[in-house]
Amino acid sequence: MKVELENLGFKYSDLVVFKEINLLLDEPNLTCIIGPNGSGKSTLMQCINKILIPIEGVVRLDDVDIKLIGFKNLAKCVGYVPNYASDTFAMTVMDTVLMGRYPHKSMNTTDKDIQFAVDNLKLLGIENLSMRKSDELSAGQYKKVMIARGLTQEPKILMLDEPTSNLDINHQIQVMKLLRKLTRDKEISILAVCHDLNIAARYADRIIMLANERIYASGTAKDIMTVKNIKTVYGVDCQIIEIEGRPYVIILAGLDKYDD
Amino acid sequence: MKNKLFFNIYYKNGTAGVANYKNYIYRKIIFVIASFIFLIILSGIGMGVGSYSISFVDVYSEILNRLLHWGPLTTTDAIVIWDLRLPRLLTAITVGVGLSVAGASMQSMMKNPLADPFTTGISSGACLGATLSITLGLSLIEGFYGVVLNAFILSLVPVTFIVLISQYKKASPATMILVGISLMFIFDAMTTYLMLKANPTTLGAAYEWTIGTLNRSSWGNLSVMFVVVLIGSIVLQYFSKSINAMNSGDIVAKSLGVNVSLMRILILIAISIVAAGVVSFTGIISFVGLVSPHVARIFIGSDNKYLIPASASVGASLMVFADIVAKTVVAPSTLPIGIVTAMIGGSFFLFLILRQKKDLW
Repeated sequence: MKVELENLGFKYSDLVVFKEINLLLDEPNLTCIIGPNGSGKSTLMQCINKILIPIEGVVRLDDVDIKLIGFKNLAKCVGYVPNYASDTFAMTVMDTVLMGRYPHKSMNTTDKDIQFAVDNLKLLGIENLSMRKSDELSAGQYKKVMIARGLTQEPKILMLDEPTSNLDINHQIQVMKLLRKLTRDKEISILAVCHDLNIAARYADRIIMLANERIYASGTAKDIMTVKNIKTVYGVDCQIIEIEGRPYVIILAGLDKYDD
Repeated sequence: MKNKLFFNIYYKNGTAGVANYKNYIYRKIIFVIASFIFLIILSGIGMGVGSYSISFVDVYSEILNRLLHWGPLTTTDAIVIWDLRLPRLLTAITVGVGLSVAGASMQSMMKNPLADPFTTGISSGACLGATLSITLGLSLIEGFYGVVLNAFILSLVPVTFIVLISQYKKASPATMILVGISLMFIFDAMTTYLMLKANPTTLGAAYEWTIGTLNRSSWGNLSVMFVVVLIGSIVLQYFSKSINAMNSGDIVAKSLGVNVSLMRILILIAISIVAAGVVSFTGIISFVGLVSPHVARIFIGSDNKYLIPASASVGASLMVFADIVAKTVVAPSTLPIGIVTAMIGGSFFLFLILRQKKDLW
């Protein structure tokens, strides 16, 4: 499925978040969005599935303006896993993951729906948590539950806001490998916000760097992860080395005297 | 998993699987059925209690006999049951179902454990409407139905205001509740002023109306309430999946395909009509709408597909039990049920909270 953003702009009251965003995602691959805090990464994602309404520009799915697509039909194509969510009244993990079937079903949950949810729990390695209530999970475990719910939605495009936050290093790698695998096996286009530059550089097929209300740079990890780009966008000195053909960023921020 | 109070639907070592999940669902369904059976038993006891006692067996044999051989009421038991006790009992059940279903939906939709059908100012609107009719005679029609109609119309004013504001300002659930509370204070002030200026006769009638009572129960009133509650409950049950999604927050709900702003308005309207339909006839019956969903949630969890019918059953049982207490503690007279629901509901709720080893929600 093709996603096209044309001259997209968004602002909160008088604060411009981004403007003139033009972007085309037409292949099922893993695209990471990076950028400093407040650069509009999450806002951009939320404009793609009508959680937020942009003030200018158009978002098209397979050449159809999303304004013309109903909420349920849009949710069948585009899934969104927020960085943070909480249930006011805790539900079991299975019930939470089964919510992902909402756009596809009416009142009754079928065996097929349940099996689909179970398969996704197994994919994330959390099937042993299925009957736990969500308030009995760690932040990292709940993150995986939200990803499982996103996958249960069966979207063609899956957007994840910081999918590796709250996860330990091992689970970060597992999740990023899984996302890459999904783009290959199920032909899902995945758009993920990432704060860890090295995770993005290692697993992303494409990286979009947001800064100063615009797309500052877009391309492969090698194109984006340069000393100049990182200095300009984050204001941090760094050194780039190459590991297994991918750039690896070493931050050169010095320690203050009293830290020694 | 840690819920060990009375009935545990969770498997300690639950693993993912279709069969396991279906068993978990069956246990919820069994709880709902069992709670309705309990309600039927409690109802039999409730109908037998009063200045003229009737045994549990006689109550149901009389009802069954009449249903199988419809005809004029000949015995004293039949007259007491069909003309007095049954309409009162069914009114109690209808009120319990209506307020509890509305409360369960309201709490999840508004993401607020303290929300209940009256949070939006419905009760204050109804009070003002009734007081206007009783003290000043301001009503579209005369008599008891004039009071009811006034209460119904005024009780829908706050929610109309909230809906308009949410359309204009895109209000969050918290803002909606705050608007409801503001309107509640304004309406309460107006009611108090009217009562201060009222003569002693009308003041007594107005005050009596504000305390919920089942003394005005009749087949005619019941039929109107029943239809309103039935339709409202079916609508809310139909929206239960959307309410579940909204329990996870607006962003999650939108990403799942819920048109949150439209859905919130539709649910709010359904809740308000149910609550208004009930309080217009009975007056303010507090605590049932707040406490019943929490009690049901302790037993069967937070999935609104099962929580809504379970809350209905718990709420109806609470009302029937409260009515039994109301008829017995100061016999031969009867306490207004609003006082009893608040006393029993509050005490029972406090007991449940203190028994729990962790937070309820």
